[in-house]
Amino acid sequence: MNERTGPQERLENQIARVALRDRAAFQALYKATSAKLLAVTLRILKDRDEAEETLQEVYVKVWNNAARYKTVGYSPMTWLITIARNTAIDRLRKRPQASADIDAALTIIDPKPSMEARLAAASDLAQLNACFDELPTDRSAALRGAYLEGMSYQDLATRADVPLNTMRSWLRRGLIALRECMDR
Amino acid sequence: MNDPDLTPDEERQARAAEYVLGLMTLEEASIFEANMRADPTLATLVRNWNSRFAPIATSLEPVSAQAAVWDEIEDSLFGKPEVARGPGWRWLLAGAFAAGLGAAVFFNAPALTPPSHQLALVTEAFSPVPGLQIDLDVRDAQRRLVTNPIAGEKPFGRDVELWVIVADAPPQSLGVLNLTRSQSFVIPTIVDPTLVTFAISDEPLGGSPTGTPTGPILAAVPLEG
Repeated sequence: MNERTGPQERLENQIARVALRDRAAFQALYKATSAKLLAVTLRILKDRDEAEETLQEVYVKVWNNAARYKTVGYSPMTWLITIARNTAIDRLRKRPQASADIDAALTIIDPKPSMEARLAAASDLAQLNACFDELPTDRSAALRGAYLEGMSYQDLATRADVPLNTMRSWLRRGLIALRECMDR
Repeated sequence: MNDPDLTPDEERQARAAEYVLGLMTLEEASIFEANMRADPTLATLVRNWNSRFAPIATSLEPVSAQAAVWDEIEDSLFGKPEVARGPGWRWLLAGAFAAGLGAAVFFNAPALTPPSHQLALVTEAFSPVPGLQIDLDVRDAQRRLVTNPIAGEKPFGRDVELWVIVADAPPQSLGVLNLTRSQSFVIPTIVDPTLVTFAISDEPLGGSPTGTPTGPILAAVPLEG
């Protein structure tokens, strides 16, 4: 592969080759991304064995769905992270009780791909953090808890020691403020 | 439950974000998914939320997986290597010959023919055609494969095509599946069952116009694994 291709193009190329059932590309993709994705599943599940089992499921999904990658309009890492996060949260929610199949988000073809998606994908951590910093601390903590640790409204309300409806209202307003800040 | 002080647009944004964060109940999420199918702009909101949050995940300290994880992935997708399998029927055959012809009476006929393989192609909830299950009865010796559709329907205006993949060769089409009844297909002679995979893909009506899969692979199953 061309030495000068950036990491994003390299991952896109690997996913395209995985779609063509190229096992070497699949292994290269795994090597390049599995440690990042294990960090995601581990953070949500907080159990090494479960996180690694979930990681297996994630890459089986990647192999089986690589051909759809282009139609969903994600950057490669966002696509992989979304699969990892959804699979881990699905598992987390199944621990005590059944949950929604949140993978369905990735099965809907995006009507106007790419430009907007690429811009959104390129939004870097600094901008996100700056926007988190504009929120009251308890709200940004709630948003991070929901995204990174897969916490439910009930978990978040318990942790912050507020009624569930209060948490719900905090978090929703936090989301709207966050989007306004990021779209500025 | 709507917030009275959010505008309709903000309410849509909030719902999409709650869906992304996994904060909806099962019922709310399935209603949202139905809405998303009817209104693809909702899918755009979902995608944008995933993209906005992704940098948090990217910033996590990487954690290397144990080597066994990759082995398990390969095993589950491509089957276990030959050496890892038990003695199987070949060993029984060898035993029968070693004990002389008379030993054959201890084995009924099926033990002396390679077993047929019972497989299932199942699409994931994540798949573009979720909830599809097609059972496969692969009779290596007869070079036949019998399909038995168990669940699911073909995508609207599309067909589901069955493929066999041998080692690293390009997929060969076995034909378009009928999802309402069993069908029988001729398959190539199988030399090494550990290198054979069956797969289904989403194709235009009548099947792939190019002879190789043009749509997404919906499910794949190794012959032995």
